[in-house]
Amino acid sequence: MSPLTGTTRAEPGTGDPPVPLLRDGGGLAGLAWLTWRQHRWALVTSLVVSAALAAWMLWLAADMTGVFHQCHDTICPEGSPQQARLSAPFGPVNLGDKLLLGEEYVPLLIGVFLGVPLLAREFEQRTLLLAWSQDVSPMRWMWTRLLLLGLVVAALTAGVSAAAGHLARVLHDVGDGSMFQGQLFLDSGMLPLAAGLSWFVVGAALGAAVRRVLPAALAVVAGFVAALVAVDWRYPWLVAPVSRFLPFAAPGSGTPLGANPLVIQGGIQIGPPDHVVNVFDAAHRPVTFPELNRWCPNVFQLGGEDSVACFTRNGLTHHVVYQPGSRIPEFHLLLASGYTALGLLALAAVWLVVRRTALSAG
Amino acid sequence: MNQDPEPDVCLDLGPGNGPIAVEVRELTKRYGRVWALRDCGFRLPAHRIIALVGANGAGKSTLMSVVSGLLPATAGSVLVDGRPVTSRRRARADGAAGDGGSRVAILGQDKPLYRDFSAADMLRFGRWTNRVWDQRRALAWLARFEVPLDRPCARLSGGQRTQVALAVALGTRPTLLLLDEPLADLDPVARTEVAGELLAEAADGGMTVVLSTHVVAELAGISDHLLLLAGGRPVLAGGTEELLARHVRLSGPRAERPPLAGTVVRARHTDRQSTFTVRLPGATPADTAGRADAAGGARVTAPGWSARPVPLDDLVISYLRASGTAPLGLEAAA
Repeated sequence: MSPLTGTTRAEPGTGDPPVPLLRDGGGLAGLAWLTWRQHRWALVTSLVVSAALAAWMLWLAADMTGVFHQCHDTICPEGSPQQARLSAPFGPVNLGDKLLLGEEYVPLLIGVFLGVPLLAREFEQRTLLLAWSQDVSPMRWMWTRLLLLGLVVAALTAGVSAAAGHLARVLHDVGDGSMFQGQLFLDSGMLPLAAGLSWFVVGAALGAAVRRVLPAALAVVAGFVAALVAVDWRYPWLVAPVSRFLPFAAPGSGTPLGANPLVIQGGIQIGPPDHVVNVFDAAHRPVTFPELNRWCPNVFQLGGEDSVACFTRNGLTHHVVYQPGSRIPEFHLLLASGYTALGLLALAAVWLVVRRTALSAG
Repeated sequence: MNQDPEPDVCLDLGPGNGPIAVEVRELTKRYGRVWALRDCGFRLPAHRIIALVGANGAGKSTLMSVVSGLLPATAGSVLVDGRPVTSRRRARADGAAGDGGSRVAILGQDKPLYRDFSAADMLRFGRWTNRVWDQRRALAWLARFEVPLDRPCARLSGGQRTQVALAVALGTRPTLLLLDEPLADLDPVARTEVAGELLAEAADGGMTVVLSTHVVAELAGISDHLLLLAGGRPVLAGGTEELLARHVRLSGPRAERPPLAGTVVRARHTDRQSTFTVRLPGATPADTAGRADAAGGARVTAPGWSARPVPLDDLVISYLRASGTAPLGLEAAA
């Protein structure tokens, strides 16, 4: 709405000087003030928590990078003081892992503390009648507040997301984890930004639908946990994986799958009396337990390195199903698209609820 | 002589050729299978204080919500200052609620306010969410009732919260102010003061005030017009004084009919005595003004009969009983 020019009106029946009738209400500035005034504590808390989280992540990343440089930009060898420092119980690697784990739940906090109250609190405290009976239309009121809070959420999660992505890359450098697996994957590529925005709108939609803050918050928690489990379970299969037979690699010879693979299937199982899973000979024929025992006698008594060396000597292979590391951007895009679709669905739900809500004064 | 008068389909409260604030035509509102308003039609005069009276569940809040445009009607139409308000939300979005359009403010039964906002914040809210805002009027209202500006609404008394809500409503400079049970949280002194100030605001500001209540005693000295709802329909409407003048209570020896011409609104009999509440014939205020004297008993000539004026609360209850609505929840005294 464009702001209107001011005007004056005489106080009827009093002979007093003209009374200014302010006519700039209903604009963006007014709704921004209202949004800030209603949600200022949640916004300030979010800002402080986000800043602290991002600062902590960056500090840990800088600490680990320093150690990484001490080890000549390679993984610090086992037993070295640098490795001991990195992997101490409260060392940077463990703390970084925990922070990235916590980062996965930031969208949940956004949904519960910023999304849900947006409409649910208005319904619960019956202030919608007050808000919607002014000159600002309910749709304008709702979209403007969603947009303003959404921008704040986007800015905060973008900052935290960038810090988390940087931390994930440093953790990848100093350890041997794949950037395609677990928190390193889910907390990088701006996925936290997409998830944060999506769960903010989902929170608003559930708040609008349930109309009570606590039940809506519980619904967001349930939905988030379900989505988290579903993503963890299904994301490796978003694109048809690559499968191939691989020779057992000698320790230290590097992975034949390239950098940052996401191994979906590929483990082997060996057990008496005749339990051998996923071990094949050079012709890709399954190996039986007697055959394996003949090639590598007392295979159980061999250490891990010796058994692998034996398998390599005898030309044995195993079948691996995996996603190559080159697909990481594609997977990030797919998951971000999923979050975006979820957010758009929630936006449509909010619009529908506001459109269909009829208020009564009584 | 008629018994048990049928409710009028359309009741005209308009004074002759005077301006009409609200015109409702065949208004129906249903919640599922429940009829809140049914073929409701009436006109309300402008620049008056109109009491909307009815038992709990009579449809008062629904009627106000529909008139304000917050609640869509199932059927029928509502005109405020001659403009349809079937979708006030759309009208606001299109800017029709700005200068030149009708401005309707509604204050809900529980006077919703943002709990952590101070009274000053609430005025700021009103200023930022309305195209027209009169800060001086709103501030003057709060000052008149000594409401602290800096205290959060949650820490104000019920009466003070009502004053804040009224200040926000008045600050929007409405041409029609709809107040749902506005005086319930106020003590009798404050109630009288608020009523007086509302009357003054209505007179000075060219505003029409519709206030709903189920406490009939609240109306004394507040409203100059009455609209009585029962079962989602208007059953009585008119200027308060005129209505009182048009009705008389006749008491005398047991009889089937009263000794005066008119419509029997309510008849009560004991073994030896009958009491009738009668609506006297006469369509114009002038006629009814003449009948007011009759209510004093001067024109009742039948032996043993006396005529007395009907108190407003008795009149309301008589009509509610006649309309078949049990007046549960309707309080004759505050």
